[in-house]
Amino acid sequence: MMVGAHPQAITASGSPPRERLLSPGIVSFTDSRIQAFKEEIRGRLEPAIPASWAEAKDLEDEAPAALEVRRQWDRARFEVGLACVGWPAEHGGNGFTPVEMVLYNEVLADLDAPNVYNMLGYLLAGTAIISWGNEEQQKRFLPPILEGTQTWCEGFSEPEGGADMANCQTTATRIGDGWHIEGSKIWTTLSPWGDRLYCLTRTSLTAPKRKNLSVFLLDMHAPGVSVRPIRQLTGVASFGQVFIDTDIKDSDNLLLGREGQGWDLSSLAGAHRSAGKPRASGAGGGYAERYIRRLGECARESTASAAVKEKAEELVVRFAAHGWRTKRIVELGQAGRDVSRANSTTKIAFSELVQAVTECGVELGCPTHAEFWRQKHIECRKHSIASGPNEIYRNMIANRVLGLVR
Amino acid sequence: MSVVASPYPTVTIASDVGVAAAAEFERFLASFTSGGPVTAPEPRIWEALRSSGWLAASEPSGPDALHLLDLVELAIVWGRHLIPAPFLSTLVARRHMAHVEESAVGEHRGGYTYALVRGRGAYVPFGGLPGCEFLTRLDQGVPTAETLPVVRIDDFAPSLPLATSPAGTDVSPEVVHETLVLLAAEAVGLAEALLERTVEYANVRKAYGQEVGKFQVIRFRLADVHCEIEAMRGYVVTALNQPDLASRAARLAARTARTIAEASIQTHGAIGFTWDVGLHRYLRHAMAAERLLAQYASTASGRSPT
Repeated sequence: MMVGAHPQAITASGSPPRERLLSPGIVSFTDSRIQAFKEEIRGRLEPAIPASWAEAKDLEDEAPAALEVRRQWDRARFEVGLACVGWPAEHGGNGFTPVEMVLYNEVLADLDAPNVYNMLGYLLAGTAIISWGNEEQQKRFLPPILEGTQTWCEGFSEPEGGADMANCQTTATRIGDGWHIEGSKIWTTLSPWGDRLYCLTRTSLTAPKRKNLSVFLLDMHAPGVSVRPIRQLTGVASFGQVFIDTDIKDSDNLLLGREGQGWDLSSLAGAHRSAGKPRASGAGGGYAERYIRRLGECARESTASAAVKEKAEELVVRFAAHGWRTKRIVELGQAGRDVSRANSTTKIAFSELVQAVTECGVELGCPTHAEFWRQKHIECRKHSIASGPNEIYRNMIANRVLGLVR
Repeated sequence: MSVVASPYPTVTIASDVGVAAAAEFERFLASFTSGGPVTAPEPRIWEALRSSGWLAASEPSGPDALHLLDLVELAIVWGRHLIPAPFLSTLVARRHMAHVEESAVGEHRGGYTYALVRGRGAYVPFGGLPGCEFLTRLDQGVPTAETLPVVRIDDFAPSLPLATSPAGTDVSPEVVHETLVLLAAEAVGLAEALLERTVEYANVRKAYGQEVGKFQVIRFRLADVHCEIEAMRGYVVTALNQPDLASRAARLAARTARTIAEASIQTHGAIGFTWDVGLHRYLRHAMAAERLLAQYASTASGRSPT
C-alpha cells in the first residue's frame, strides 16, 4: 500500500480551455430544452474522462490510483468548461440552477464518471469564499480550485471533539499584527496531499459559545503545519491528522469573514453538506448508480435465494425513489415551500441506502463480483460516519423537526 | 428516468391549487374525525363528500382540473383520517368515466369500486357497500357496473374492507397505475398521522421520572420513522413517474406504513396495545393495503388471484 504517496502531477492537455457552458436558465424538469442541455454536457464530458478511469473505477475511491484519475478529472472538466458548475458565473462557475445540477449529475451517472477530487475546494471552501471572502481572497483562492491545481481540506474534527464543532480546541491567539494558531485536526480527508486547510479555530476564551470561533484559510505547506497520514480500514491512507503550531500575519489575509463568525461559516458548510447536496451539487460521479447497476446484473447471474433477489429488486426501486426525492427537494425549493423536513433525512437516507446496496451485493454471492462487493461493503462504512455521524442527524431530527422534549 | 416535456411544470410536487385543496380537505375531514375516530361507514360523511364536490375532484374537466400530483395530496390527507369509505377508488374511477351518469341509489351513491385484477377471488375494497357501484369493466370501453355478489368480506381493517369477487375487473393500465400511486400516498398520510400522535404522546408520558421522549432510544426510533416517511414520499413520486416500478413502490409504501404502526404501538407501551387508543386501526389498514397490493403483484406476474 502506497501510504502517503503523492499522486502524479497532472498534465494539461495543451489545448486551450473551451468556453464555459453557462446556465440556460432551466428551472423545471419539464422544460423542453432538457434533452439538448444534457446532450451538450455529455458531448463535452464523455471525451474528457481520463482513459485510466476504466482501470480505476472499481478501486477504493481514495486509493492512490483512483485519486490520481479524479485529480485529472478535475483538470479535464475545467478544460471543457464544466469545472465548478454550481458556482456563480462571475466567479468562474457555470451558474447552474438546482434543476440543471440534477440534470448534470444524471449525465455524470450515465457516463459512469469519476467523483470530483477536490470536493471540499468546490463545495466547502469555494462556496464559503464566494459568500464570505473578500475580493483579494476570491481572486487568490478561487482560480486554483477551478483549474484543479490546489487541494483543500476541511479542518473541523479534532482528536478530543469529534463532530462537536462548537467545542473546538484549536486556538488562534492574537500576537502583535497576526495570530498564533495551535492545535490539531483529525480524520482530515486528503490531508496527505492537502494544500489549504479550511481551519476552524477558537479565537476567544471569553466570548459566548458559538461566538468565539473563526475560520482561517491555512497554508498546509507553511512551517509549523504537518500531516500524519492515518491508514483507514480499507488499507489506504487518504485521511490524516494535521498538527498546527504556526504564526500568520494579518497582511496574509487568511481570516475568512469576521473574527467570531466561525460558527456561521462552519454550520453554513454543514448546511451545504446536509442539504441534499451530495446528489444535487454537481460533485458526485456515478458511483452509487454504478453499484445499483451492478446489483441488477449480479441478481440476474446469482444463484442466491429468491428472497435475496427480491431484496435486490426492491433496492433498485428504493434507489430510484432517492433520485426522485432529490428532484422533489429541488421543486419544493423552487416553489418556495418548506424543504427542511425533506432535507433533514438526506444524509441518513443516502448513506444507509448505499450500505444496504453493498450488503445485498455481498449476500448475492455473485462469483464474478464477490470481491468487489466485499471491498465496497467495507469502504461504505464511511458514509454513515463522514460529515457527522448519522446519530448527530437523528438527534437533529428529534430536536428540530419532531420537536421532542429535551 | 427519462424526462419529457409536459405542460405541467413539476414532476414531484403538487400545484398551488392542489396544495390549497389539500389544506381545505384536511379541514373538511377533521370536522368529522376531531371528536373521535370514524369506525364504520357513515352515509352522512359520504353525502357531505358528495355535496361538497370532493368526489368529483378528479374529473378531468375545467381549468381547475387536478393533476395526479394534486390528487396525491388529497390521498395523503385521506390517509390521515382512516375514514371507512371508498373515496380513493371513486376518485380514480370518476377520472376515467366522467361521461357516465350516476346510476346507483343508496347510501354511497356516486361511489365506485373495482378490483385491480381479473379472476376469481379478486379483492374489491368496500365491495358490497350499499349504493357503491362495483365496476366490472374500467378500461377503454364504457365502464359497466354490477351489484357485487359478495362471496366474503374480510373486514379485518374497517377502513379498508376487502370483498372477494367472482371475476374481478377489466382495468386499464392507467387505472391500475393511478390506484397504485394513490394507495402509496394514502400510506404516507397514515404514517404521518401516526408519527404526530406518537410524538405528542412521547412528550407527555412520563416513566422513570421523565418524559419518555427524552430517552434516546425513543428519539432515534421516531427520527427513523420520520426518515421512513420521507422515503415513502419518494416511493409515491417514483410510482407516479415510473409506472413500471409502481407496484413495487406502492408495496414498499404499504409495508413501511405497517412497520411505522408497529413502532408507534411499541412507543406507546401497554396503552398502545389497547383497543380504545385505536392504534390497531392503522396497523390493520396498512396490513390490508399490503394484502391488496400483494394480490395485484402476484397476479400481474402471471398467477391467478386465488
